[in-house]
Amino acid sequence: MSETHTLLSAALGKLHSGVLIIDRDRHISFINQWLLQALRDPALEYQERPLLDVLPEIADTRLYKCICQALDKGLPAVLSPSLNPSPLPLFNGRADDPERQPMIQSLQVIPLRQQGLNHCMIAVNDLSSTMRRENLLKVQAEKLSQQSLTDDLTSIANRRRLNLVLEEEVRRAGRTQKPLSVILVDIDHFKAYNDRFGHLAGDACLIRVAQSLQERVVRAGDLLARYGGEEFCVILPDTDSEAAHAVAEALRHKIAALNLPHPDSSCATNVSISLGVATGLAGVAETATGLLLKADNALYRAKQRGRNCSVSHVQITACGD
Amino acid sequence: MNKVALIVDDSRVSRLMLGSMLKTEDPEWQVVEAANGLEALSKAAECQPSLITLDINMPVMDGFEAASRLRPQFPNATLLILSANIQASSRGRAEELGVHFLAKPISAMIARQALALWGSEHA
Amino acid sequence: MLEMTPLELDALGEIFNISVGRAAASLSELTHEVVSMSVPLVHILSPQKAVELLDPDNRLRITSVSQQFSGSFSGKALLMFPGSNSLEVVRLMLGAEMPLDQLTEMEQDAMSEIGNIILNTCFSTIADMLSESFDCELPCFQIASIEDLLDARNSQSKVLFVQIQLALEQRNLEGYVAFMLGDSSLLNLQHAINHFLDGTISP
Repeated sequence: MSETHTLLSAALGKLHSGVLIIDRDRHISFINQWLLQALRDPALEYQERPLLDVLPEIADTRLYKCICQALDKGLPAVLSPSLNPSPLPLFNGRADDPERQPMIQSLQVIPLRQQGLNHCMIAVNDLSSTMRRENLLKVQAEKLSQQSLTDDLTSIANRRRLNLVLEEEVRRAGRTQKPLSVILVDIDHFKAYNDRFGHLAGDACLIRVAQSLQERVVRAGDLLARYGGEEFCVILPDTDSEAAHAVAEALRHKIAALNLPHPDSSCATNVSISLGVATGLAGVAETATGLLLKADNALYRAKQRGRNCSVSHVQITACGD
Repeated sequence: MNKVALIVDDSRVSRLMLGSMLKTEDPEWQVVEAANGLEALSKAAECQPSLITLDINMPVMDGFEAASRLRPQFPNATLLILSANIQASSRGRAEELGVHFLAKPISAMIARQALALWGSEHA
Repeated sequence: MLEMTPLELDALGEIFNISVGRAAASLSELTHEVVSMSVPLVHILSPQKAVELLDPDNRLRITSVSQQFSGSFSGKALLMFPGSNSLEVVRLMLGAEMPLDQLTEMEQDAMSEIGNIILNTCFSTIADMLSESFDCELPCFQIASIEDLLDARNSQSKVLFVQIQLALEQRNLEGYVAFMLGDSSLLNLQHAINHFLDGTISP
């Protein structure tokens, strides 16, 4: 019996994780070497002392509630690092190192009730390096997604791709002297749609609108991209303003034909879009920004005219309003 | 003040439990039951209770809405919310409405607390 | 074939009503959000029937946290969130944006804790109200189909199913707590409920 005791003592003493055992009176029955070293004050006497005397900071915490629940009701608990980063005052590194960092911990509170015992064991694992690794991976994943050219939600081109393509098309239009058109599309009263139906339904609506628009933007060289939250942009190279306006109207009808009910829209009973069309004229030095600005002005006019319509920038300058 | 209690809860077990415990504490009490807030309004008009207990989550009309309507109609009755929804926000709302709050589960102690509250308001 | 009377189901419903209320309060403390809950619906079904109802096409991947328990009733308790829902839970609790199959170890641990909190309040409330005690295992995280989680292909015993709806921050989460109990355990549960009803409702 004593040999087993020696063996187990040795094992717990060398374990690279913490073991703390509390009895029903909330006194510390056992604390292993690893845990002792990790505590803020390893020189303190812990054995047999009341838990809240030596670790007063854990009173009123979730950890203490779990300990009581384990002792009084026999229920085990886990304390995950993301929700409870440092339930115990533990630190990494040697006890005498003044630069010790707080340890990110994963805890399990386990009732011990066999053979007359009425205790609970707190098993502590150091997750500091795992946490660091996961954060690094997240940063890398973030970087990768920043290089992506696809919009996560709708799977169409994203704004980065739009900018790259538009710059290229503006240059090409300058060389070839062919007209380049751009359409900005905005879903009418989208905020009201989200407010009524919720974010998940709002996302679903965006996906459907994007898919529907994409079905009509299939000519090689044309591009549909997500421009903003509820805004899209269509690039139409070698397309004059009349043709572009026709495309805009076709897109508008296509979305109306989806028949997605939109009770809070003041301009239609279903989900509708407003569109602004701009065309870079042959012979006029156009920039990507300039073209988008014109399309944006045209979109603004479309909204002013009651939404669910398309307006060409050419029309604006022609009418002089 | 007449010892008529109106117990409003969509759980029949809860109504039976509380009713039984109230009568055990003080056999003079008469108990009327309602299964939701709307029924509570009509039953209250009929029986003129001096003690009303309300659960929060009920179909048709919830406890808070019923309490807000009953309070002005029965200014002298003791109103209390008796619910499993024990968050600070619920307690806060009860306080705003000027009604007491007790947490389920229903027990003899809860019954005694309800009667003590009634006693202090109808001395 | 076990049938529970409406009164027994009502009592069980109240027990879970109180459990969910307490769990919501704990989650609220943990997340510093207001957590609201609807009254839970209690059903007793065969696992096959449960699969039919919740996932007839057998396509859903369910995130689950389960705890084995033993005592006067024994079996396995599971908290399940259908695929898209569990993302919401993780997202709200941790601000994470990972797709389900990329749930990191950290996020799985957090899910386990959330499941542990909810299941423990159920055990604790059942123990208090029915004067029973349980031995419980640590929570276990799993992503699988409902059919596999409930062992629907092999199991002959009934499942106590509780449909709960929690709302955090305007988002609605629907989850299910299932208690897989053997026939004798279900019978013991029924006896305990009746004992409780006899003790608290005078004839």
